[in-house]
Amino acid sequence: MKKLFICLSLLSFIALAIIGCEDYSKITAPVFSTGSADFTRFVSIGNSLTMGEQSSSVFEAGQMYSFGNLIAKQVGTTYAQATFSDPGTGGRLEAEKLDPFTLYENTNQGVPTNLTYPAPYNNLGVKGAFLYDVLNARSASTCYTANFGVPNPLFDAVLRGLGTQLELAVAQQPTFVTLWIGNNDILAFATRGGLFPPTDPAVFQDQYTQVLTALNGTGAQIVIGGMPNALLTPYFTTVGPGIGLKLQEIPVPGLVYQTTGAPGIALATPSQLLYDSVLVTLSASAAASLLGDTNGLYYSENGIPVPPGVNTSYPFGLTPENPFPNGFVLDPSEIATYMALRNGYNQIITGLATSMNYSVINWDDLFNQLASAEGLTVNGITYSSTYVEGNFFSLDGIHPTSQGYGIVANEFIKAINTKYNASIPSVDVSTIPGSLVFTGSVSMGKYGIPNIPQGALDHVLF
Amino acid sequence: MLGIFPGILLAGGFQINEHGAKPMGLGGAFTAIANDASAIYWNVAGMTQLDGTNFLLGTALIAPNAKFRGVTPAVDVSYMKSDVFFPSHFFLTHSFSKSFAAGLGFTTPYGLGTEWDAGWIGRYLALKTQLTTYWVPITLAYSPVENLSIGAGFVYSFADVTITRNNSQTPFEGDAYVKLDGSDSFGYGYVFGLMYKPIKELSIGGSFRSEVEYKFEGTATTTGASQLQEVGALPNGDITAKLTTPMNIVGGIAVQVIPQLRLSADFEWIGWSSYDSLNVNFVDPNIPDVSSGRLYKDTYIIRFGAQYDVTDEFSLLGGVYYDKMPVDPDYVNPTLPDTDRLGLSVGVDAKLFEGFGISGSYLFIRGSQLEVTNSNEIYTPGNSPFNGTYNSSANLLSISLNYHLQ
Repeated sequence: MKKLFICLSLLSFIALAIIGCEDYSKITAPVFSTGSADFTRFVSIGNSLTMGEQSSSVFEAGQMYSFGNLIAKQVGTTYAQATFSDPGTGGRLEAEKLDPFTLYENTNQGVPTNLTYPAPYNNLGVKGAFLYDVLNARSASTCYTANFGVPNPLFDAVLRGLGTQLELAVAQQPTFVTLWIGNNDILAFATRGGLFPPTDPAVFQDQYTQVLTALNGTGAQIVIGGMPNALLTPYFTTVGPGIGLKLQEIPVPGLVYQTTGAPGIALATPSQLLYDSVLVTLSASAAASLLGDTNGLYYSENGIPVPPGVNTSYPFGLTPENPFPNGFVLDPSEIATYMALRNGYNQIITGLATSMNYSVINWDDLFNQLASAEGLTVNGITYSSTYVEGNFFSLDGIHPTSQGYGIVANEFIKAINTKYNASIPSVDVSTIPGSLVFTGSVSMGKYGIPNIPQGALDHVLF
Repeated sequence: MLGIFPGILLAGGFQINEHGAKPMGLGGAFTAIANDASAIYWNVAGMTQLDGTNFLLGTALIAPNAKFRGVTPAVDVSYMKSDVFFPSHFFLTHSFSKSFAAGLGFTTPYGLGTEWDAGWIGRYLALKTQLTTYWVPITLAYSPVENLSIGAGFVYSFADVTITRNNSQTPFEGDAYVKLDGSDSFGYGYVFGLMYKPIKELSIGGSFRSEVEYKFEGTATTTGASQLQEVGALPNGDITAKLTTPMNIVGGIAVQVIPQLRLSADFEWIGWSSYDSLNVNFVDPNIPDVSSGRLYKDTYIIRFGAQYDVTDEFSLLGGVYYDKMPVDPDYVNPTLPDTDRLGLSVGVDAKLFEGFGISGSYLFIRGSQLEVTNSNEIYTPGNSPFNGTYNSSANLLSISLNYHLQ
């Protein structure tokens, strides 16, 4: 009886222990549908926005969050990129101090980290690429900006001598393509205060037709990015209002600046500057701090020859004798030119896309929401087009942050889901780490104008 | 002296139930038994059963495991760091007469210790969390009639807590590291006990352990980018925080089925609703206070135990209990991966030589798989819920030595 009882209790304990030790049940990720979209061979053609540039540099920690790579992760496909180790391709902008906000230009360069990838990259985006380059650029010396004395070595790094972006895309027999090109064809005009020639719409039409026809020939599905209104980015909306505030306080009638055509000199009133009817670029940040200077510091400190007809003993930017440089200012006629060109490009793109049954992403709703007072809230984080604090744009004021690229990727995913009847989940942008880099070593000043070293933004585009 | 490094939640919430190897072997169904010096914790009225002076000294070894799969829709697995805890206990009773006894104890009724890897996906919720409460009960028991005993005691308590986690520096890169440290050197509570034996073979016990309120004082230190430090964006300063550990009301019964076999059962009600939110207040009014809802609810544990006396000197112990989680799954967070738990224990109790005894037991705890689908816990700088699946288990060993002095 005793033994029986002991045996029974031991057995019941063993049984209970086995039940108790049963391992956890398997769980699997929920399935989603890519609908009729086929990401077997996914290729992206584009410029810095496709390459994943932020804070004026292309670096691996940021490239991980290029919109193409984010889409590839959501759908689970291969996506090789021409990555660069930190701090990237050079000239990365880093936050040295927050009050006043001060930038540091990190002149160190990283090295390519995926050079031996045995096939063309899926991400063929090249920082600084114009539409022309998709068809023609094979190397630094054959790219569009080489004609302007700026050979772009990133073409060598991404294309590796294997062909043009278009050739490398076609060679991969892509099943899915994102095409977002043409931004620089108009943007360079704007960032340089109207001094860089925009691509002629007729030429744009011709080149875009060639690109889209060639891609159409591969049978790939294509989603196209339209041209956003870059004048809503902090690159154009940060310094001007700051100068406006400063001039109101002095007080003077306004900013006296050079213009391209006659009469050569114009006046921007504080209210024009405050309400964005005259735009001053972010690259004018250092010059803005010298307004009223009578020692020619803007020219002497930056090694810029004093232009003929300029008398630096007059207050800088406040007098016709010593005007604010033309390349920093987009006046109302230049703004109108930009807007007309952008509309023209978008019409060309939409017309071609419609004829070939591809969808085009219109960025206006997103950019307008970012520029609105309430901003855009995604996954609990509010984004706006305010410089730095807005979180959408990186320290160069024009390229998104990693989280910003997440929002861009979601716009693509939205377009793909609609067009191809798919249910690809959106990227949770709040899971993407912050990407504005603090520098270990380098202010928005009193008027909200950041201290950006002169020339630090010279290569924001190419 | 044994090392005293208690801490880890093993019962629902962060109650620790290891106060003696024999009670652990019986699944904690000990309220109607309470026949060794650990009665000071389990049921103070039990002290009158013990004659002479009794010492009981012991420790438990607790090796918990937990993992989290998620965040949904991902099914990536994160493992809680493996760590071993040694909550120890010491109890002393003295009988002044057949009907009057007093006791003094030291044990750790509440605590938790969880640590997750640096850089893990839930790092904005939890890195390392450690809470330990120490109880020093001073108790008296009186037996007015032979089959009835009552007892009461005062509990002096102290506690310390450390909480670390990361904070996002978004839009800037990198994470800040937050550490909260606090201690309270004076908390107090009280206990009551009752034991009634209507017949020789039947014992009924009741035990009450009060809430203890702690007022932690300490510091918060946040380290991160020097740029953020310069502009005061990282909170640093003195903090205070309140925590109330719950009241326990336990009813138990023990039946001597045959001369060699005693079965026991306890029902323990735990007033976890005392823990409705965790508030950290900065002494500096310029730094915003932190509050996170916990919304614990009252809960219970059901316990069963069996003791089989193989000889007069050697007994086998077995136990099983079910411990109902006190928190809604939506509020579960990785500082404390709570769930319903099943405990299975075995043990031995032996008298070695005159007056000297030893007991040892093993307890396996299986936490039921907990799927969180609508979490209130946010793991990003935005509002993304920490949904996923928790699994947990624990292995425990306990050993207690007792000495009886006539």
